[in-house]
Amino acid sequence: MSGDLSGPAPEERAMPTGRRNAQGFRIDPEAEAELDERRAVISALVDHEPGVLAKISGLFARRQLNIESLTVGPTVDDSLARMTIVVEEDEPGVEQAKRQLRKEVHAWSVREVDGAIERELALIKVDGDDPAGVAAVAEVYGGEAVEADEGVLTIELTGTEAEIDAAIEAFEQFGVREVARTGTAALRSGTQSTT
Amino acid sequence: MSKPQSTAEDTTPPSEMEYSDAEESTPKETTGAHSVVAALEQADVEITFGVQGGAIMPVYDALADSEIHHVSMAHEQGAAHAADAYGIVSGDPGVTITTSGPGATNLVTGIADANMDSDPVISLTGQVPQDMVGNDAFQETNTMGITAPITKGNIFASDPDTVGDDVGTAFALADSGRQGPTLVDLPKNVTQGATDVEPSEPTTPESYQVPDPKADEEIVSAAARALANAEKPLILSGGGVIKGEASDDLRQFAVEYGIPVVTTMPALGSFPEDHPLALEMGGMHGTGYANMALSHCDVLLGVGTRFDDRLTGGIETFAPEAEVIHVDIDPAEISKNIQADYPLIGDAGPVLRQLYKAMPGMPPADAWRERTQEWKAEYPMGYETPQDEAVRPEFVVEAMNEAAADDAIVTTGVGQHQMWAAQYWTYTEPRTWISSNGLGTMGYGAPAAVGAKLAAPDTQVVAFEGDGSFLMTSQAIAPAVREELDITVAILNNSYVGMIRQWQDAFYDERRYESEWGWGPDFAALAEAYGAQGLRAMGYDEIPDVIEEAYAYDGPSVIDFHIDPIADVYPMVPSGGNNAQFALTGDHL
Repeated sequence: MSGDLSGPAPEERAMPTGRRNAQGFRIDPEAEAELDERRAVISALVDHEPGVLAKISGLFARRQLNIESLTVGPTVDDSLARMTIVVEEDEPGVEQAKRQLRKEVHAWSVREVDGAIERELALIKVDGDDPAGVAAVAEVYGGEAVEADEGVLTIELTGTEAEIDAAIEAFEQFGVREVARTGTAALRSGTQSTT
Repeated sequence: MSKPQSTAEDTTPPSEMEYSDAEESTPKETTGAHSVVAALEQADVEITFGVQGGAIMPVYDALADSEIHHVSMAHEQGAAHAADAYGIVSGDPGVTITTSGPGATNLVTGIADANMDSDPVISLTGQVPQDMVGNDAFQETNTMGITAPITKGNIFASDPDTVGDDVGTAFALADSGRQGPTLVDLPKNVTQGATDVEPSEPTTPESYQVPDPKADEEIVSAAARALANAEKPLILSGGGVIKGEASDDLRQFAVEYGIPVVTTMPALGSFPEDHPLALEMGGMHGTGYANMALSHCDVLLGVGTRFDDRLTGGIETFAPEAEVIHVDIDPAEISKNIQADYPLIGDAGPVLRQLYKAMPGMPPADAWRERTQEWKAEYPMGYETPQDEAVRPEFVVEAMNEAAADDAIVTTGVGQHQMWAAQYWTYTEPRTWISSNGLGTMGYGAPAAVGAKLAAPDTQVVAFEGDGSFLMTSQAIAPAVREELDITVAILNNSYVGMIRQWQDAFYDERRYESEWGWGPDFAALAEAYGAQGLRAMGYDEIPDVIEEAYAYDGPSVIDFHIDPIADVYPMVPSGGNNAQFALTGDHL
């Protein structure tokens, strides 16, 4: 072959007028790409084996998928564990999370559980200067004091993530010292199978 | 992690394995290591690549009694690349056997490389005995943790009775669905431990699901209609076409319906580059005509490609007017980078045959085909060769190609030489381009040539390397000599880390910091020191003779081609740029 590379310079070429957004969708060139983040609850049945939790949490970390909470525990089948993962992602991100999870060799099934029953447990340590006030707030949120000790009340509370957020906010008037939350566990309601 | 029960000291020596066939009910007592080797034999493994070491000694000892040929590489990274290339050329998984600790960590680059290119490679790594795991024992490393993100799956073998099945599972997993690397970590007490269980038929774990090879018929029909109505249809052939043995299907489809074909780098050879419909490689250093076609097409059929950033350039300007039909066996690749209007999850060959049948007619693409030919004339690939000036690297690639057999296999390192080898060698058959496409591992070429030659002993193998790239793994010449492999390594020596120098000139005010070494080894003398043939070419007049000499030599040859030190790779789409605005010279950047 001979002759140097030649041809019209970039600015002299016919250019396509279309455009994609950063997620690879074709868009109206005039339109702004908009990405709404949403909260998605994903339930996965995985092998109950050492190292599986590390693999799955590592998968989310290296794909830069935001985990809000991740819970794991045994199921009716001894060999399996259920993971409930709450992610906050835009639509393509949620879809990627599910697809990447399904690729994991130890994952048996993966499903987004929209509208499922969701609960988490929180332990909230509140200053005990006003025990009656604390008890009243606890009652409002369906919690109870599990321990009262040297000016500190420890409240146990279950509810949805939003309910617990609200309860903690309400307890702040008394002074919240420490909080431990389990993260969301979820099951689809009634006879519907979760995964 | 559960605390393992150790039997490190309490093992049955291999000498006690004598088998009496007097009573068939007496099972043969053997060791975990023999189970590992039995599993390899069951998988029809003929060659393994590796390096001996303490924790893996039981496996090597068992391998000594097997017909399987083991190639001792000089470095574990080279073993991984050799096994990787062996897998690409043969289509069967390549296997490495290495020890724990550094034996495993040295493999990591090679495993990551295989993972990026979806190559089936099985790594068997030694590990300290289970009762020492977690105690920071000598040559202990958390191989499972380190390799989890870069393997399709990895398995910690915990029992001599099941270790053979673990190896079988690693095989099945590496080779099913979207191929990829797998690893089995082998604690020494497991390989030394006694067992009377023979490995069973390899299977993938029940939890691992591979999609159906055929795609959804309704989406196939819709995609076929879109393609048949397209005025500017284009096929983008990806590495999955080669892995799925679908090159013939793709060729038939493109030719029957008159659709031009762009290939990604790993797909070089999936469509013959001497065919009029071939627009060759697209992307960063692709041809101008491939990138114009990608930018202007109205329906794009991407097969077995993950729409890598080196191909797409900026997402916003990639095929911006095209409806995208995306065929892939991995559902997670669909719409990962480019939104698929027609997602076709399935195996490249079967889905292409489905599409072939579903096409309602020929796309009305006469004008488009003509336009692609005009682009070929408008943006030709080429270079000048004034005989009194420094040698153009493109000329070396073409001269090597012309003198080589038609079915020769090319391996490469990473850098400028890799791009010239991609651009100026004419690829017409699958599995003839063996390169580090995704990870970009400098030094891949020489050890890959070792693996490629062992996979295809009767086929010519040419490795292109750069001076910087070759320095990273030049010790691979040692096993090439030991194994008496007839390979040719062509070093395009510009006395620079050339791709970095090119980018520094273009994007860093020509500050050639640490890309200009000013001194390099005498590669011909280095080759001779290894016992290979060492050759050198300083000018155009010497090139034909050294190529002839190297090709005629029955053994490894290394040619040190001194080339124009400041030759650049063009065309070029800068990182994240618009494919249609590829630069033909530095002035365009």
